[in-house]
Amino acid sequence: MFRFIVKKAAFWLSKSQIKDNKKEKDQNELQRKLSKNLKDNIAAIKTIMGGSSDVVVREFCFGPNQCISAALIFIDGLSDTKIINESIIEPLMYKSVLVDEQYDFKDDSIKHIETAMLSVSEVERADDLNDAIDGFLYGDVLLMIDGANRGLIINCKGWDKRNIGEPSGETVVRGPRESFTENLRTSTSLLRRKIKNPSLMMESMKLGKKTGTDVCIVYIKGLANPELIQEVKERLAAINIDSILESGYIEQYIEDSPSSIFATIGNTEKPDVVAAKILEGRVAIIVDGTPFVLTAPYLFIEGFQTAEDYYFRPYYMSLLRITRYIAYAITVMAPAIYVAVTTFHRELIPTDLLYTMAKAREGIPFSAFAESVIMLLTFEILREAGIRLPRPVGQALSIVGALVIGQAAVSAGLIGTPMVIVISITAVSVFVIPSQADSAAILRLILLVLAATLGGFGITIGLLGTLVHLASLESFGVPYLSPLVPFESADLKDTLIRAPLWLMTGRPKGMSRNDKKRREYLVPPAGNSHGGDK
Amino acid sequence: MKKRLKLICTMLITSAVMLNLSGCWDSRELNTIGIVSGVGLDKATTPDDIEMTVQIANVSGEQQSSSMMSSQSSSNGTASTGGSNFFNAKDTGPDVLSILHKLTHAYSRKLYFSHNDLIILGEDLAKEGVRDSLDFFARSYEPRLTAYIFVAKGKAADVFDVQPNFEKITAAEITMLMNDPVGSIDKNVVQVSDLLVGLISETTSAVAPMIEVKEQSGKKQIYVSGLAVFKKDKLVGELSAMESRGYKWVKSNIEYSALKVDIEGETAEIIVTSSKGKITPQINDDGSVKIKVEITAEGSLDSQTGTVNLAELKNAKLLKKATESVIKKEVETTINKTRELDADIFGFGDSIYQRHAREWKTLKPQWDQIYKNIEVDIDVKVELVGSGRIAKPLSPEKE
Repeated sequence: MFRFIVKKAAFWLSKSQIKDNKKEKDQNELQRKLSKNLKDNIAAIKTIMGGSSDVVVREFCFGPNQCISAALIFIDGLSDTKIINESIIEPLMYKSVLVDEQYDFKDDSIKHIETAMLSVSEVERADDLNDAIDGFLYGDVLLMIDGANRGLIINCKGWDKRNIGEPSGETVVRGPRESFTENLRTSTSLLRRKIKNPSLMMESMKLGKKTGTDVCIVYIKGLANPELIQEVKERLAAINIDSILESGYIEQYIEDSPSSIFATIGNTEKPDVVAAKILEGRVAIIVDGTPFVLTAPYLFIEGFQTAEDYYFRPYYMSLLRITRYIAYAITVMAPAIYVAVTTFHRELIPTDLLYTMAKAREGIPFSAFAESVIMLLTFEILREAGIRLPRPVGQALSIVGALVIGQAAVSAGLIGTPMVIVISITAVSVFVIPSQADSAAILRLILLVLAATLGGFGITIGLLGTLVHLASLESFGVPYLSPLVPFESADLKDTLIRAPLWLMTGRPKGMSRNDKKRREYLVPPAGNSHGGDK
Repeated sequence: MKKRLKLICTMLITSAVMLNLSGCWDSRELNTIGIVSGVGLDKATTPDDIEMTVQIANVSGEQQSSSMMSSQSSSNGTASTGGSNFFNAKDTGPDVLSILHKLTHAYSRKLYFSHNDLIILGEDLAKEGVRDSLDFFARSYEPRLTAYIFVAKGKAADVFDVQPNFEKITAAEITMLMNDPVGSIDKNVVQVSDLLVGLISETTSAVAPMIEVKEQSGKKQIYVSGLAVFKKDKLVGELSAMESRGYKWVKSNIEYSALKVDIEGETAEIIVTSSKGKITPQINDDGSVKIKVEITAEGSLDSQTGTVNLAELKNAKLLKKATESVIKKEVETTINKTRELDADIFGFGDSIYQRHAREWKTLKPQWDQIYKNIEVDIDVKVELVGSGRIAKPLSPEKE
């Protein structure tokens, strides 16, 4: 059924694309070559930019007798004016005076300027208007010289950016505290600092017709499956969208099953997590303008893994890993099981507990189902309000929430105490597995409705349906439930438990098809092997 | 595309209707049920009728019980509250189901039997036959076959009027009493399913522990002892506390029960940590039947009188022999008593049927006669494994 909706949507989408194509044709006319006449070029750019106030056009003359007129075009605020002053204008104006008086400006002399006069690290050439405009829109400076039919794009990006901070969504007790930033290059540099290896590949592309957002595909050559890289590139190239403001835009365009409640592409703001993932053979997609980096393929079990699992010693972390699975089961099933058991299968409750629960439900005007829906709704409202509220008001909210839900509702006899306990544990458990929280919330509601109509039978139907659905999902060619389904015993070392690092000799089989081994042999810690021999 | 859309719409609508309109046939909120914790069945004063007492947990406290009390005046049934935690609903009728129907006229909540752990049969009703009364408890899906069953000395209804000591509900207290495996060998635990097996079998007689209300310093107290013996579905006799021990040795596993053994003029107490009985029938060449009963028990010395060191190897052997003979004697006493009652409570007949089905056909018609004179070979093996924390009796050593 979902597929039908998706098809329908795709149809509408393609219809609107046809209209877009017509507009593109108009734009093509603007993609003409730069002319040799500087005045014409400036006029053309000014018309296209529509006289925007932040576009700075600085016209000047240089060369012997100031015979050559030139223009610098840049966006105020995007470019570093210090570099423009000291590294572009200054050498051009002062050094060019020293050039021979019979200097004749030719086409190739722009090469001379590029190679000999500009003391700036990165210079590119622009042949047509589009490249030229793109150049200064991305923060560089466009230098055009009268008599040359190409411009120079000189790198002097220098806008205000946020410092590297702590990740707000994924806090850790042990491990790196740095987080990606909105600036693409800062983000890539963070990765490069973690993996100092020539095989770390970063391929850039621009996406979004209007926004022209920089997107960077990061992977390790020889480790990531070439088919996967190809697939990622193809899907990215196929994106037909005018704007990309966050990596979520891309995620929704390239994911395998857009109609599923389960995410098949992961996201994180921690460089160490991305590094670990690309070292397992995954591909990361960094999008300019957001600290959230996408990783693919994304498997179900990844929601239960955290960076800290690998930084702490393995035994307690294995216990925590199991706890996370239990917490997920609780957060998905607890309200459904409570409703099913109290309204259908009372015989399953131990007698003494039944007395207690019956006592607590005495005089409650709502059915257990209505009760749980009200409580879940209240929780979601409180949670949402907690995120949206300005910080200083947050405390007032938690007081109201705790008082209203915890105390008043129970003492007024509106909600039973067991229900408050069930919803509380459900709500708390969600935060243990943040990356699967969105699917859990929907799944919980579906199971709750099934439990209220069909009891335990309904829960079974719901869980079986979910399992079938999960087994049918794929993320970039890797089965979503792997290594559980299809079963891969070697990869179980990092699934239900987290085995000691020295035991995990292989990379996940589904991902890395080339370089499967982390190490050739099982290498126990030094102390271990010595102790064993002597 | 359109056809598919139509199909999907139909499926959506039908499933939505199915889920909502069919209703939740089994769904019931906890505050619409009355949790039954015990059922008593008695013979009513009117002929052919039975009187049923239902002990219902009053989870809502005193407030609710007063409203329940007021509702009973309109019905011909009576109810007595035994405090705020439970109340007993009573009514009479020709069978259980009709009484349950009558109770719906008096009580606002549906009686819920899945947590009923206790069925007490009145002595008078038991004598007349319990088959019809127990049909509901065996057939309906709600009552559990694991509920404990008792025969009351006197009226079953009286048992439910006793105030519990520890638990909140009388029935729960009796259930706890039977749940605990540690205790006396006299205490036989019989569940509804066991009784039903007896009712279905052609030769095996069912038993059920007896329960009575004793008066102790002005306070009513429950007391469980002895066994009621059924023949078919009628109560035919009782085994005393002593006599009921033999049944337990043969039929159930004993855990942590004390046994008194006389040895050389002194008494020793043995804690039986585990015991198991096994029945093996043998048919001799001349067609006579011999039943072999094997009992293996393990225990340790718990206490003793006198100064003889029973933990000593020589004495320990004597003690073992004495224990074996005590158990053997207890079993023999029970078998003799059942011969008198003409009730095969051990299921000897069924054991022959299971092992020697062909011969059983000829034995079955005259089984009552055969049982009276059946040869039973009792073989007891006791293993004494310890002497407690002290190795010697608390007396000066003899030189």
